[in-house]
Amino acid sequence: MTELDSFLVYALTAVTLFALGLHSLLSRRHLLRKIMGLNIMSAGAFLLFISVAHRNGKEFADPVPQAMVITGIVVSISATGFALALARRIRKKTGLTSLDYREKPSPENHNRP
Amino acid sequence: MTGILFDMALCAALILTGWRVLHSSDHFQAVVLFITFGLILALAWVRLEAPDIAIAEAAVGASLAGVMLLDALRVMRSAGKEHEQERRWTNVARLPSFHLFFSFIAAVVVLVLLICAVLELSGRQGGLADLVHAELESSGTKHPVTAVLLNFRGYDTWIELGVLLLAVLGILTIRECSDLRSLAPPVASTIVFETLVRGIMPLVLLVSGYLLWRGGFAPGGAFQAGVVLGAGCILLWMAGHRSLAMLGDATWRILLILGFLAFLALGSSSLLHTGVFLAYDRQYASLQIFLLESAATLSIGTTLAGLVLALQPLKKDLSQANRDVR
Repeated sequence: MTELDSFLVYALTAVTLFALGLHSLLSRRHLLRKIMGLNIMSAGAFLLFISVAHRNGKEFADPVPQAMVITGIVVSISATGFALALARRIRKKTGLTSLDYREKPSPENHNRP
Repeated sequence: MTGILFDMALCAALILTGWRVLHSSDHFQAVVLFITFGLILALAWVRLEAPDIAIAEAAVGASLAGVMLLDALRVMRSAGKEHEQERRWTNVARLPSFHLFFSFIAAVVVLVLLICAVLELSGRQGGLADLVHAELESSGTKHPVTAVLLNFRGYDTWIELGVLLLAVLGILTIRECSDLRSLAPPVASTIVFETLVRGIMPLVLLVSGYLLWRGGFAPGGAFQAGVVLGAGCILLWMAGHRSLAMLGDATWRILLILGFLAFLALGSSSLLHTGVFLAYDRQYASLQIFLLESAATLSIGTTLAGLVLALQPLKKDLSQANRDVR
């Protein structure tokens, strides 16, 4: 019974984190917040995966999802690195910190080619 | 009973920190909370009996992601000093209310659907744990997670090394530089930090090697070892050492592709001999896995450090900035 309970606790946390991340991905304007929102979404997905693995495991959680989540963590950090590089490029080229082009760019970067 | 109470407290902390990360008014505070979120998540992995993920999360989610975000925040903030600009960034900028409403509805719909899915999942049993334990003897390693990563699902690990490589190539393309030698030399650090890093570096190498070796029979392995190695390279850079940037062009490129290439070479040779991609010879399986893991460790370390270092100022940027000042 306690096994099932801890599964429910972690799985419901996982889906809440996923929805929180999705909401901020759609509603935040600043690119850094969007990237952090994506990361929290991926944390939610991993947590759901492992809460199932924990229930199905023996002494450790089921090793197959564990291996996939480790792979996923490394892939998500490289995606984050790439996204941050793109965000910094946008900042440098346009002076904006979001994708909203109605915003006025900062005058310092505006004259630069 | 205390166990389930602890789980609930941990989950409440996760949701609260997650919420504050995304909705606090200050970006710096959000990044620090994001690091905290990573550490709490590492604790959750321990509770879920997934120590391999806990090690990876503590190293990647809590430290490396934190360094990347803080560095990006510094750059995205520093370029404009106008008062209005600062105000706009520190205030939580919001979209028009229609978009806000739409994103709220979308999140709620997804949440409800996912909760239904979880409730349906809670009645099911299954999983591949038994299968992995049954085949563990023939895999060439004694730790089930390493067996899955390097043997049963070696294909995934290979592709994942390819993804890492692509990320670094992408960043180098965006930066319009081909190697790390065109980076401006790092800023000299304080004597305290430099001495600390000098003392820590041998330990970093030791821990990395230990994690790699330990992966053969207990939680640990190439990923965790690679992340520790990469963090060490970044620490060196922060202490004012040229770190990866002092490597020659060829050495740096070879280190980047070493892991990917090792998988490809072993996979093709087994494809020629047995007709199956990445099939291990049972007799040499543990040696092959160890070689692959060592190559992957070096590549992962170099790549992750490269993800951070390739975003540092270039020589040409600095000289242009100097001209602008004059």
